[in-house]
Amino acid sequence: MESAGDWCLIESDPGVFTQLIKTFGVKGVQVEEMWSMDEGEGVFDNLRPVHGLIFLFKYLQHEEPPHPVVTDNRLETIYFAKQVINNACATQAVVSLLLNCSHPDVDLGPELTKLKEFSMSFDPRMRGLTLSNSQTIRTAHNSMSNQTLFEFDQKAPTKEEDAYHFIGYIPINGRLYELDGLREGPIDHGPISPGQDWLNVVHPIIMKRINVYTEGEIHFNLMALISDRKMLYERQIQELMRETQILGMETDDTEKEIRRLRMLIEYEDAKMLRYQQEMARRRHNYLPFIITLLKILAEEKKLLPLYEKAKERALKKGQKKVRV
Amino acid sequence: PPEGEGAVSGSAAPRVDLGAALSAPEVVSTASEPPNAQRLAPHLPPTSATAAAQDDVRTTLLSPQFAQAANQFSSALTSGQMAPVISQFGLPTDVTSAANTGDMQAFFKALESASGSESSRSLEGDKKKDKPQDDK
Repeated sequence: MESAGDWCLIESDPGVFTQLIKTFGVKGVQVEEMWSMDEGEGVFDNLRPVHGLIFLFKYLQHEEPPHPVVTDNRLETIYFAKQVINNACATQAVVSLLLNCSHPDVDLGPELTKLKEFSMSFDPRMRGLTLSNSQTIRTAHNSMSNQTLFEFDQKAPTKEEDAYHFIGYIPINGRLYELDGLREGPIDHGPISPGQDWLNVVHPIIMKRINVYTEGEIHFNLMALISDRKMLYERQIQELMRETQILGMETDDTEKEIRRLRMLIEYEDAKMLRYQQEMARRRHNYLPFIITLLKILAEEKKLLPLYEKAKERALKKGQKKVRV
Repeated sequence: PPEGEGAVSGSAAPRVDLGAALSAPEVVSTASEPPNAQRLAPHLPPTSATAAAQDDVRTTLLSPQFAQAANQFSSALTSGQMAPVISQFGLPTDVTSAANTGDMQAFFKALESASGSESSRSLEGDKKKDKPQDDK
């Protein structure tokens, strides 16, 4: 049980989440950040199919759930886990969405499939313990965190960072649920009519929540769990090529469309490369770099002037704060 | 708490975060000069980029991940707990003991005077700097 505590904070970043999911061995999904929800449901147009949404916000106090918490036998089919470890909530939110996802694009891979089979019969608390004790999940989670240069006693306690909370929204068997590991169970947001897109149901709920947070100047962040873009584009190209073969000729339109899809694939490849580079930057030990840089600046006698400038700036900042 | 903390730095000294200071334009241009970029190159994050060392140095200095590490470095330094780590880089004793006081200004001053008189020794130190921490 002791080791269950070794979870580090990870950044809420689509690159981190996408790589986290891949490290679990899950295929066919990626995470994209939603920058704005203002334009109505249209914001989801380029993201469909969306399998779930991850909402991050600064956790202030316990609010009463807006809807009843599910305690009946639906818990046997909904994978809901109580959150037992603080820093793990980002990962737990993502895993909870994945384990409730039944879309053919999503391939859970052997590790998560095993985990789900193993703990499906457990109650929410035991499921939470299973997730936090999973070596696979913990290792993947911790591999996403920033490298700490060195261990030392930080005098100032870490600030807001600890108070962020992640929850998930997902459609399960025709109803919209909110999965919040701090609750006793999933929150039921009501039915999704047959033929209705679940995103139309979740959009006003999220908008309402965002508006509350915006007024209170509370930080929040919304991310979508979507099908792997590259996989979708490649599938579309294959489809177009098959059509062309059947027709025996290639029209200008299909040619144009294939070219467009190839460009989108290039864009996705570039994005994944950028994610990998950011990860390398995150995990790097900068100490030798910093020492060498300080030496270079010292040799050129630029270090003390730099310090003076930085001190002045810090003093000004301090004064401003006092005045306000 | 480190000895003499109040005596050396004074309680009025503001908290200086190196993250912003080390991404200032003058630092970026100094670090990107070819000979300096060459010295920094082995310590860059392995981003598998094919970019030249100068560009890579600039990108690294301007990255949020580096800013975070630099801020961590400055708070560790100010806490006076950096000396054992710094001593692994083969720096002169004066510099290490200045680091021990938790006074950033004293540490920088010691670093400047050490590099003025003993530039050969500081170069020697460069070679050792990859040893302290292995990739985990």
